[in-house]
Amino acid sequence: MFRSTKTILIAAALGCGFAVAPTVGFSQVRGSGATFPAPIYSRWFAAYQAAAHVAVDYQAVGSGQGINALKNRQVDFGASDAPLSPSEEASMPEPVVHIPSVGGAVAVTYNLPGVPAGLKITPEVLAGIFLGKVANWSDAKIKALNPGLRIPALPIQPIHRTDGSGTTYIFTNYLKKANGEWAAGPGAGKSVNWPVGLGGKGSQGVDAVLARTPGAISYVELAYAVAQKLPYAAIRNKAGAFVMPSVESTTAAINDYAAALAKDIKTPTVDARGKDSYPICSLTYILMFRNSARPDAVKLWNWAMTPAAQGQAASLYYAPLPASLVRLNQATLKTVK
Amino acid sequence: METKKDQIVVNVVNATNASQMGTEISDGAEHAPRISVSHMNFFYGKFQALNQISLDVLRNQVTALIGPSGCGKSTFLRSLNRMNDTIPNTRIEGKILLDGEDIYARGIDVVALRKRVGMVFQRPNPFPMSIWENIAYGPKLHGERNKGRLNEIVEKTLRDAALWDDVKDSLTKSAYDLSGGQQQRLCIARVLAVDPEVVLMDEPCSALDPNSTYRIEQLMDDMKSRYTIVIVTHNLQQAARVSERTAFFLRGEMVECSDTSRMFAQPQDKRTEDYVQGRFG
Amino acid sequence: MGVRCKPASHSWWIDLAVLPSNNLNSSDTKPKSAPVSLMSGNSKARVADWLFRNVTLLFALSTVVLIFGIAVTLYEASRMSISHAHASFYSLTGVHAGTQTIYWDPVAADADKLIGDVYRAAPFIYGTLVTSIIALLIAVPVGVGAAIFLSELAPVWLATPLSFVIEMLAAVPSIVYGFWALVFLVPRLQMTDAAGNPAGFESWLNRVFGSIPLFAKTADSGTGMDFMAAGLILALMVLPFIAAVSRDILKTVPSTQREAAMGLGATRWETISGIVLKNAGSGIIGAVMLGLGRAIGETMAVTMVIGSKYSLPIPHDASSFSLFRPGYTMTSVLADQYPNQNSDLQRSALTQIAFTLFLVTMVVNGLARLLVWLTAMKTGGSVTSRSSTHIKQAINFLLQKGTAAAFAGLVLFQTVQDVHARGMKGAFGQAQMIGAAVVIIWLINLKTPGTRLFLPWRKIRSGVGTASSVLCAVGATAALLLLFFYVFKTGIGALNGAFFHRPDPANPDAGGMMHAIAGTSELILMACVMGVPLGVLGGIYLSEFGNNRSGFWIRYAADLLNGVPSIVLGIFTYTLLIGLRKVLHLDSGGATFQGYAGGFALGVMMVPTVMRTTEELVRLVPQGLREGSLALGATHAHTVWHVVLPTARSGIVTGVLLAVARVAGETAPLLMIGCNSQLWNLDPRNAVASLPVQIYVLHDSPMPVALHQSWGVAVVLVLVVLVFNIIARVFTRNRFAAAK
Repeated sequence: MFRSTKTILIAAALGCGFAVAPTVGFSQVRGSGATFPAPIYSRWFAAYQAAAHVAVDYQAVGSGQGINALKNRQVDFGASDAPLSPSEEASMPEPVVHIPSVGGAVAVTYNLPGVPAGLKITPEVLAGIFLGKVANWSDAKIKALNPGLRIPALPIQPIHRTDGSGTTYIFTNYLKKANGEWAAGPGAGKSVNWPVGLGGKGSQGVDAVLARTPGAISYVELAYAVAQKLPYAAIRNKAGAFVMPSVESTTAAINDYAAALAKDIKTPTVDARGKDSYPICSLTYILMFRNSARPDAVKLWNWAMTPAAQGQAASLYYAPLPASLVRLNQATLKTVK
Repeated sequence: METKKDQIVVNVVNATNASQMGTEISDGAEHAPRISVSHMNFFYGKFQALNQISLDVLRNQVTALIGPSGCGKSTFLRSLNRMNDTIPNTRIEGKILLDGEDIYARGIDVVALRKRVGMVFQRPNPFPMSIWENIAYGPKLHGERNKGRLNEIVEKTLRDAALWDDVKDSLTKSAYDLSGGQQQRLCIARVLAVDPEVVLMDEPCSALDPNSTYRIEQLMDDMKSRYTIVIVTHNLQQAARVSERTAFFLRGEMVECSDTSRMFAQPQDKRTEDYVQGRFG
Repeated sequence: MGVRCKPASHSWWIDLAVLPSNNLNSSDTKPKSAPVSLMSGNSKARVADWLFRNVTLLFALSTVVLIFGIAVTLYEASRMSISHAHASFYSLTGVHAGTQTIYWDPVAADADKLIGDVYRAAPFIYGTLVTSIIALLIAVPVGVGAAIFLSELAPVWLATPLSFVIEMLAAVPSIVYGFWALVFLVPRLQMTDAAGNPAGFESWLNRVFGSIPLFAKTADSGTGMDFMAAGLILALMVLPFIAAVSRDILKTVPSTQREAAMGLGATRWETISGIVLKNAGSGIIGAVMLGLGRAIGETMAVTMVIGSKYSLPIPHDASSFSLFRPGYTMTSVLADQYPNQNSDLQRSALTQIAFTLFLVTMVVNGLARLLVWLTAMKTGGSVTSRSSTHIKQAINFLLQKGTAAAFAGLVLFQTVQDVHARGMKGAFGQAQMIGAAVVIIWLINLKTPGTRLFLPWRKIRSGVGTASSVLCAVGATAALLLLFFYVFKTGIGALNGAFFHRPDPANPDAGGMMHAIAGTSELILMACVMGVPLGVLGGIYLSEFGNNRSGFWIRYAADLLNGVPSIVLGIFTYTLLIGLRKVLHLDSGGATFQGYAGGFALGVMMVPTVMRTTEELVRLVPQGLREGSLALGATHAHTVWHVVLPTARSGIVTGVLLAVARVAGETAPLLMIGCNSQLWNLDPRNAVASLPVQIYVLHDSPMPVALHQSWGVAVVLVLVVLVFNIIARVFTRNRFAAAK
């Protein structure tokens, strides 16, 4: 057909050449999962590459996909904002270890003209807003919480993430723990059935909708809210204090659960007891197979436990792990083969 | 060669009777020519396809245009109803008068012109509709709404085209179900349905078998009492059979135009003689 | 409609006395040997032809195998959901929980949560239906109008570049459409702006036509991300398909038809609307159904702007039918939730939606064939039975009178409401003006015979008709230019030097997109390795041997495969990949084979396009050429390989290039497979990066610099697709130039 069959054969050979040629890729460490800690992971992996000359290919595609990828052995480690549920763990081909890497906070952001900062919200009001029960900013309950603020009488427009995400899981898990009506209704998950509200795709999408909609309220990673200079609210915690999300309040929340975490690493850290704790916090987990992990991956996460790495977390508004957790992780990593 | 010349003479003798009748009418009534062309030039871009053509088409006669391939006779025919307007980059000079009106003058309505000067094409081209709808298309275009009158028109034109008996029970069938000859007669009936004054025919039988050709030539004979017909044909015998006047075109020029009998028996120009005698073609 | 080279249906491998080919080269000095006996037969030739026929048959059967494979794989993966939900999956009623009606709740029920794991597909089916209808209502008139302009009215120097521009609209990857719609279209549509004031097209529609439930304002209107936005962007995406295919069909209407009509005294517009369209009717119906298939299967663009909310209209609440509500389509819920499921049950339910989508595609395809068969009236002996005539009349009646009546009814309803609200003054609002304008234009179509005004009236009508088709073509071109300029303006700044380097793991913010460029090239290469042989050899089978029953089914399967949405193909490939890795025990660490899977999915998309193009082109090769070769004693296989294919070569290359341009921009299948990588990796045993996925991933990233980079990648992708299309056109033009 062509000048000669030779041309075809050469073309095919070139094509196959791509396939068999060993590339840099093979010595990569592969991971995928949560978008929630993506900024700090990105910085860590860059630093690790500079320090250990091992490239880490991390896909921030979402906790669910990370879990799937691990299950299908497509990655060396998975990253998830939620620990594995019992059914998820059962469906794993091998036992899995959970290694919390950092703590983070989910900020409740809003778009209220005339209210640049300082909004206070309780979990009842928050659940009511996202259930559709509290429909206007002029609601008495909100007024009572914020006597000093001039809140415009706009209808409340809750905004959620449309893609299944760990941030949604953390937020809905908090609502489930703190509010019985929410627990009976939508519950907690990476995607839930939101009774009311608009959707945005990813943090960017949510931000875009928020910016366009006066009266809107939503939830994003603290790191993102700070980077985009979005106003966020103080939430009343279990102790009754109104706390703003920050590195300190997140650390406090995690410390509240330190004992529980020592018994069960999967303990959720939402709705913490302490008076300085921010209620919507979570640890984010690294998942690996206990009996068949890749040595490079183990080395990577050992490095992440070092003070050098953990020290970088605060500048990105993530909470470094308390020492007890670091020790716990190092012990766990030792058991991984 | 000899046999051919004899054959032509025989045909001319046969045709003379017919043409004489036509000549009588035209001489007797002293009617102005239906179409009068004077000093017409036609250009495709830079190429001159027709050069200083002057020709009169007389009423109620069949005028045949003959000549070898590429001589411009189809181009000339299409100029008579401004079908060449659809081809880009063409230009025409000179005058073409229909009943005294210059059809290329400013403000001439091409749509109205084409209603008066109809055209039958080389290959039958019925529309993808039923037979009835094909015929009714033209009258509907020009405003006929009444179903009864449309039925009348359909029947009348199909009868005129000698197709009525063949199709009267299957008017709703697709036109493509007909044979080639029938389709061509359908196209003729379609043209007749808009009641034109002149019917232009561009080699209407070249794609047909002899039987269909015969029937269409019969048709032309019947039609000429009511219409003026101009036919382009490759077939010299056909020109001799059907026409009263013949014009011979060669390489964009009209070499000779005269009564058919005289053209074939005593051509004035040597080129005409060579052509009708079959020395080139 | 050119002359088709139909090979005779009898077998080609008659026992010819085939002189072995090397004899043809023998020198003259060789003494004349005894003539070869006619009965000697030549088993080598027979074997060669047998092999040729059956090998090409095998390749052609790939389409049938793939269709079956997709159906079976998707069904198997849906079993969990089917046994969980049974028929309620398709029920129109949701689960009632207090005041709420739940259609889709992907969280399992537990101690606290009363109702969970609800999976009902009704909202998604509704969304797909609504958006597709909106898309067709806009794209069909504008597309056919533009096609009329391009084929009938435009001078050659204008028609060629404009056709090219409109075909470029078809080539723009859907993810670029999606982002453009999000940042450009939606803000101009939205009901209220950031300050709460009315703004945008939707608020105008609501003001003017608000009494009509379709344009009512609801609690969740306002952001501009709703059915209307999704329908509009779908219309823009479907428009070039309908325009390009219609234009090609209109061009095949023989000019003698036009001449016949004009010879009878028809005006330009009467010729076009009455005769040309009639000739092209069945083809245009086919084009419309093609557009419908595309609208149903479109994922990325719709996902960006549809608002992602499970909403179904409530019968007793008229405003719930509003187009200004956010919704979901089948494809967009897959794009949103498939990558990150809560549970295996949710994944199975999502796979069941993909399976439903696949079935819908089959139904639409079958409908298309039925309609084309009904409306075709080309050859003698065609369908003119009474029942089909009745059906045709019914369709015509519905289309013309039905749409006119519906429109009139709506305007009337709006007028009544306006008068109610504002008294007689309300009867002259914008809605009524628009309605009056449409009525006048329709009246212009009314025929008023018997008066002297009639002919000028027909002229006016002709003028209006031609002007409106010019408008359609101009509108389509303007839309494309808007899109191009916006994408280039936003993205060109990101294309600095650092962009064209490999990504640096130590500095991910520095740019560096070479991995995406290289990855896309590699994926395309793999797709070609799979798609070109299957497509070309299969196409050869169809054209040489395909006029039988197996040929019919192969073509049908190819058409189906062409219509399967790319996200469904992605889910199929992913499910297959997981299954294969398990079965073949390849899942013990090491390779994931996602690169190969990505190449496979893209290859599957190429097969039907290349197959059909090859078939058409090989058919066009004149019979005389084949006969010349066969008369010299060549086998059929030899003739095809050495004579027919080289003649058709440039056309086949064009087909391949166009198929490549299409798959280069596909995002959804790669996302479903999980084939994306942030590092320089060319080993297809693992995931590779690619341009369209990079656009998506970067856009989702919380880093501000990533957004700018994503537009830069969009520019590169659009340029790549453009270049492929241009090369393909140049190839075609050269072929025609040489032919002259």
